[in-house]
Amino acid sequence: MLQAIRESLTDVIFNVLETMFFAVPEKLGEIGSDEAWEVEAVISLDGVRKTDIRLLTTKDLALSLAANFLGKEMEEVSDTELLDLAKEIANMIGGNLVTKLGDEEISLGLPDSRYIQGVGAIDADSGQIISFHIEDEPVMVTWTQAG
Amino acid sequence: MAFNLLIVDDSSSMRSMIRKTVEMSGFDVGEYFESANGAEALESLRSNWIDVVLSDLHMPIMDGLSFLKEVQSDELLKTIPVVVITTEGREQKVEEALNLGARAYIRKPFTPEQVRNTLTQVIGAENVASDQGEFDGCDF
Repeated sequence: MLQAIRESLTDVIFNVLETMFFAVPEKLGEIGSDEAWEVEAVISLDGVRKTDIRLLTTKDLALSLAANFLGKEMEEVSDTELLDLAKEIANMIGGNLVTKLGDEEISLGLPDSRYIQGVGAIDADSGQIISFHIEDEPVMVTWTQAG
Repeated sequence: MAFNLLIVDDSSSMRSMIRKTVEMSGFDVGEYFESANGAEALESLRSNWIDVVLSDLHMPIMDGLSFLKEVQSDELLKTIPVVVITTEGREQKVEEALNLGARAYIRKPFTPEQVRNTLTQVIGAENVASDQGEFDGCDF
């Protein structure tokens, strides 16, 4: 199941980022343990086992994606817009993952997002990880299963 | 003739992007309305003249399926075409939405062309200006 999620999640992340943001993930797996994460978005998949998916990145990348998406300059993007877009990215990734997994019993939770600080905000050992860069900024997606 | 469009999505960024896509598609839109969930959308439908609705499914307070049920139960509102825009493409969800009266659906992530083509199919090509609707170089 974990391997199935990894493959499906990787496909889904790339599809969402490329289709809606023209952002191409690069340098897969090359994320250091000392990255400073600043933005987090979370979504849950509720089924036989609850799966939490977390996206982490830098504020610079989140701003760049939001500016592109909204057709604004980076300095014009508000915190509300940035966090709203981070939430929507989590929503698209979660929804498309559910579709790809094809399990009718899974329901999608509502996404959430927030600013976080420092490398200590993520325990990389607590879940499975997919990492890559966009525009030389790091992105990490983790998922954990409970139950 | 211009038509009035209601965009329903809990994400304000997504509503802005959909609106921009529709504007760039060359549709003759008179007025845009926006709602963050199904309950707000029902209020908007009851107090404004709206010709077509683009609605998300996955929303807090009242989701898209509940919204479609409410629309279908109202003799006047059920004549307004609703296009569902959703992250979920599971057959069960899509069929449920279509059975509840949705005219069409668009999967997120989508391209501007998909929005244009679906909306054209629902409201008719006569509402699209022929000299517009090019997305070359568009990066949302």
